[in-house]
Amino acid sequence: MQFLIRYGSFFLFLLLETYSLVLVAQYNTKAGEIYQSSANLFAGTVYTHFNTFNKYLSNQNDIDSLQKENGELRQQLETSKYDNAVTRGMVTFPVDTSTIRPDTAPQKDVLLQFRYIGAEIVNNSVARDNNYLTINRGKLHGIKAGMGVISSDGVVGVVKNTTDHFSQVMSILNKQMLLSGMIKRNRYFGTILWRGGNPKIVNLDNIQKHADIRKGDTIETSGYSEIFPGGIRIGTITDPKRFDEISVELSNDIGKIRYVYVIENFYIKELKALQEIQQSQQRLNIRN
Amino acid sequence: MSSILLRNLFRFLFLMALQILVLKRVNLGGAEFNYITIFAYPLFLMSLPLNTPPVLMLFIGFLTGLTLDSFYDSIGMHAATCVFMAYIRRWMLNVLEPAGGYKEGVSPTKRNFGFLFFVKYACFFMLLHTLFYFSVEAYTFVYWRQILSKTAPSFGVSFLFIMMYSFIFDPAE
Repeated sequence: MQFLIRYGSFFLFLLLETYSLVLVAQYNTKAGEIYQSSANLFAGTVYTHFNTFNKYLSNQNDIDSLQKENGELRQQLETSKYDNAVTRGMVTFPVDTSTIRPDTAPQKDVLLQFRYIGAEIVNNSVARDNNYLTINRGKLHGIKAGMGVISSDGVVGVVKNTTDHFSQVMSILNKQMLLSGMIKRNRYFGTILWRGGNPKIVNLDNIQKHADIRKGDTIETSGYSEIFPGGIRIGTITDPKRFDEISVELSNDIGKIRYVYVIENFYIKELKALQEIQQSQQRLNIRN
Repeated sequence: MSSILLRNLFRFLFLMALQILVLKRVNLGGAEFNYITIFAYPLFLMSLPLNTPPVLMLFIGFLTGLTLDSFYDSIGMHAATCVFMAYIRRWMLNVLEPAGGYKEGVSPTKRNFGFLFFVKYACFFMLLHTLFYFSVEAYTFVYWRQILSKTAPSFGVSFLFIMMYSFIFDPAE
């Protein structure tokens, strides 16, 4: 007992400190993220109420309806569609339509692949190494982890966690964020990543050595991931000199944006299934 | 007794609101110099009464940190910093003890122990706080240059902020 009184606070200190540091270390695991994040209902609600402050200044109904309309217009873009025409471009190999099962036979030539859900940012940061945003749409609005988030100016991030009414979005300004980016002019592609510091500048890595890169080249999404459709702006190249560290100025000012669109890919299950098949085959190859 | 409790509770709520709703949105450095964070909430831990039991002090620090973490999306970083500061405060106060000693049960504020004492206290406290916080954020001392380039401006601005605060409100407890 004497011992506890004398050293109790020291051990409590060690315990709490270790616990905190473990939390920090683990925070990219699912449990750590959900445990304490602004996507939790309490913090989200506080931010939403504070944001209504600003809303009185503008007419929120107008914004909501415009945002919905924009989302619908985006769905009309070519990049949001899945080209289902079986016979298009197949003049030399005519498809025998009798082999196509009636239940999977293409009903329409063009199917919708991407849907855009409008949302408003209720919490944001750009000052840390791993930045997150919170948006005011969640599970109830059809948002799931892994969906892409864009604004009218370009890519914003990827949804990490969702609650009923809010979602936590990993910002493009997060050191753990990797994104596939492509030079619009010549379609060479690489990886977009952020190394911290200036929230306007990201890097383009893993691009082919012989790629022709010029200052002012536009970088956009490649469409090679299942998260973003192709052709969404990311930024422009500002410093093409060093191949290992090409600087790209973001088209988005992440610290300023307020309205975003969450992208739902209707074919994500099929694309994921393909990846899983490939992975299991690789595993088999390693074993053999 | 209850008035001291209420005072501290009120200070907690006020500083938290200030930190989360206002200071979190302030970007002093702009896009090119994105290294300044203003810390106002450590003033709450600094101003707790001298006779706060160490164990209670640690729990208060931990809860303060967790509250901030849930708003900053910084899981554990503020908690680790606040627990550390809550623990180290006793030693810091021992080192800085004024010639006449401390009065029992009061708070270490500018009005109670003078301007010079408070400058030293705030300086030590904020320096350790910012340094510890940015070290935890980087999680390794390999990035010491980055840690220092964030600590120095944040410490300066936060220290000035806390001095201004204590001149405006000048609380006894």
